[in-house]
Amino acid sequence: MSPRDFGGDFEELDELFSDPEDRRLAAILTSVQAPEVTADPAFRSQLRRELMQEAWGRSERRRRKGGGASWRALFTPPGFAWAGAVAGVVMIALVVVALSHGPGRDGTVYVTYNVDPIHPVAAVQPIEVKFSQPMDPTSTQAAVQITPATQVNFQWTDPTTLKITPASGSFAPNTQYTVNIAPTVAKTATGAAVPAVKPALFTVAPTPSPVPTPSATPSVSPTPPAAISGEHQVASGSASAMAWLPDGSALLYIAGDGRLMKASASGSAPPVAVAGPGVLRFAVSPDGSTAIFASAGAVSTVGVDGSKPNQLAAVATLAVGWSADKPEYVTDSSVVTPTGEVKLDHALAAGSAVALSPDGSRLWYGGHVLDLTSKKVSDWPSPPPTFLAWSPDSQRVLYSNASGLAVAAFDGSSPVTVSGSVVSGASWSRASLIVYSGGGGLRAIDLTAAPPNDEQVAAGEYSQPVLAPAGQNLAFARSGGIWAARLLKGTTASSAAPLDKAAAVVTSFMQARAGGSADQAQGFLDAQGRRDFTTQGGPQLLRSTTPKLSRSFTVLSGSTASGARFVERLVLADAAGKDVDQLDETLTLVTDPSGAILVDHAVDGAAFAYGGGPAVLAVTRDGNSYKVEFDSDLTPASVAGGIRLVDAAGKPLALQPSVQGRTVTLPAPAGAGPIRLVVLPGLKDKNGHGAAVEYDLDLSALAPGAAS
Amino acid sequence: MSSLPSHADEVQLVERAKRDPAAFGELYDRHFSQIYRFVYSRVRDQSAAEDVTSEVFMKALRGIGRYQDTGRPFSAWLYQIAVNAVNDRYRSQKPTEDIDSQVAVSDRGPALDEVAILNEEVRQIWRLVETLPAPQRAAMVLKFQEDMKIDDIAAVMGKSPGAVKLLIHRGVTRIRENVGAAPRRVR
Repeated sequence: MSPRDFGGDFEELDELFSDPEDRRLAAILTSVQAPEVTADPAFRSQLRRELMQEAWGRSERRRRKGGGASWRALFTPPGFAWAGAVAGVVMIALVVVALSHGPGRDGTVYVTYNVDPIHPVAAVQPIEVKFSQPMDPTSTQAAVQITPATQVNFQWTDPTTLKITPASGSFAPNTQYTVNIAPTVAKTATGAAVPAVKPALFTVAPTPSPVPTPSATPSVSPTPPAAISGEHQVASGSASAMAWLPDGSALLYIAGDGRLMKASASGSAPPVAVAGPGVLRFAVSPDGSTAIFASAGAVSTVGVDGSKPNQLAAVATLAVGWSADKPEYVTDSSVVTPTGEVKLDHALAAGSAVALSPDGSRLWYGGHVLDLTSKKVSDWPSPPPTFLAWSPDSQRVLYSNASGLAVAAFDGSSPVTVSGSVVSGASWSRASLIVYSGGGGLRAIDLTAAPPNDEQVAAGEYSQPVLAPAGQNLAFARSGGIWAARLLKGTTASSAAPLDKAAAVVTSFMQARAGGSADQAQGFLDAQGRRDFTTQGGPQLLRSTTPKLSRSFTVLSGSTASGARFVERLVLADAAGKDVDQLDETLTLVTDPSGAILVDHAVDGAAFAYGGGPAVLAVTRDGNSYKVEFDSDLTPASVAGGIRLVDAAGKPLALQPSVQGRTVTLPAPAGAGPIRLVVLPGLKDKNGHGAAVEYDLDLSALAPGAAS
Repeated sequence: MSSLPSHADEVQLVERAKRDPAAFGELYDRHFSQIYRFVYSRVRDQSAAEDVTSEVFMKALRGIGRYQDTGRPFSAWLYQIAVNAVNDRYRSQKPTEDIDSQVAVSDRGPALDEVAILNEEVRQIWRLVETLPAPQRAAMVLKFQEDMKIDDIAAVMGKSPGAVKLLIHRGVTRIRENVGAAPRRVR
């Protein structure tokens, strides 16, 4: 009941009523009221959503008519296509900035980006800003503005090139970004201010799926074969060498300061020092308990937890390894094995390419392979190729030459080219799979295919990839950090998340529609979905007249009990290919009895404006928690009041959300009955912008395990 | 406890709401409860109250570009829309729910031993309010339930302040005449 009393506004009542009885009656009327009328929270929230959708739609229509356009409005997502059209569909945004006192020959700074508005980039794609003149790093970094709000790391690869990487490791999928250099803030190395720069616009591609399109669709190309999930940083800094423990539970690496470090695969605890500093190389024992490592004048062993350090010899080494459970090492003239010393036929120079096989039975050195048991040397053809890795079974060698990557038996026989790529590093820790960094991403060679299949499994920065011998763990270096992820390729389909599967279906469905293939598109629909697309006034499967569907991208996605729900932004173009309109289509996907994921329901409406503040991208359940992914990095202090779970009566549940970057994790209450996720305007991005629209989702449909 | 926004703050927010959907959302958050409560008090039906409340805010959204500050609270404009919307609805149907179930007393009301007496008295009063002509009823609800000033009610109802006073005065007088026994003194 509202806090009113018998008082009311008696000045007016006195004026109104001269009779004391009338005044007393009026006082009673003022003091009593109907019971506190509380609107159904669902109604209140639903009406707000409808109002906001209407409001944004009106705002967008006004903007299109040219009224009230603002910089921000122009580059908010609905305006994205228009901005692209205005930009003339450029591949590279080239900005010319006149400087009154510029140090260049004509006082001009040219700025180029490695992204453009048309081609989606990978979530882990660093953004490179290339200036035509050397820049002042501090002021230039201070001038960088990114929308949606994103915490980023900066790296100058040279005085003119700034690489921008999200601190979380990746940009939000399905999200449009702008990168702007604030006017007059950035300065050149000589101190001249850059007065104005147009922003870079780009869209991050949806998360790729490891699963091809459903069986109901015969001939649609699947999305790129995918295979990375759960990327997370396990350590900061660089690594000169990395190796997994055999069970994939932890990673050993040589840090930039020369210490041998151990990091857990989960990254849940800070890395611990095992040995060093001054470690040059190391190898993990087959049972994963011990490491042998070399420093400048010594070779030692140590438990992988840092216990029991033991110097084996005071000698310089070129390689270290294990023979069964015994350490062995290579000097410039011999191999010291558990059974004795084996002399080399010639002295090795410092820095020679020398590698012991995983089982310690063979040594590669400069185009020769020495069998440490038989003492026989196999000479490879001259000139020797570049050695890359031994196979896990020590029987084969991976190397590169002018033709690309190749695999041959240890003695050089039976060579097979497995890739046309020429790379300097690769990991071969699993019999059938080689991974390497190349072609702008992570690539994998499936040796079980005939011929071996070399394909990109993820785009972006995946330097020094190392795959664990068992399990799915992959380690790699990225932007001054050491990262881990799960490599799903080569694993069973069951490891793929339902949301990923549905994403692949949606992508293929939209590709079929954009390509004008009604038959293929129909293959993604169940009976109800077909009805929706044939209902008058409903969404159109194909557009027979202009404007026609030119492309689409996913705006929102989330799991449901029976499948998933996606909001797709459809971009429509006129006959000349110019973007002229957008709309949002909501697709509900279900799994049919045969296991195929199909579109079961579709509705369309005006394109909704995201980007004014944090917007929910996806909600998933992972074990005993819900993960809510936003498009913006969040202000942690705003999370407690801005996002909550409520019960069926709308009462907030006493749960403590945690936030990391743009992801909020809420514990799933046990036995709480139907619950809803509510995001309120009080939730702020890292720049202080409140959520643009309230979000309300029934979570009861999210079954445990329905997580991406 | 947060203080109420000043009129100047509200004017600024309304001006922003003409261009910024988020600002309109803030207006919605501020005024939803009172408008819904008012509408509900008039139609006595949840479904109808939701329909009318939706209509009020949709009309407000569509018309906010033409809204001009006259020095009155923004809520007065919303009430004006609500009054019209309720009247439109009354033209085709009447509320049917018994008011008996709608009445309670305030937190700072009389002692428990007087509550029952007061409740009966209040029920009787509000039954009588429901019998008043629509203009009197609307004016009394806005005055006694929504604590609005006479001038604001006048703006909402499209009448002069004097006419509103007259409606309220006549309404109270008619109720007193029909209450019967004089109401008991309450604390």
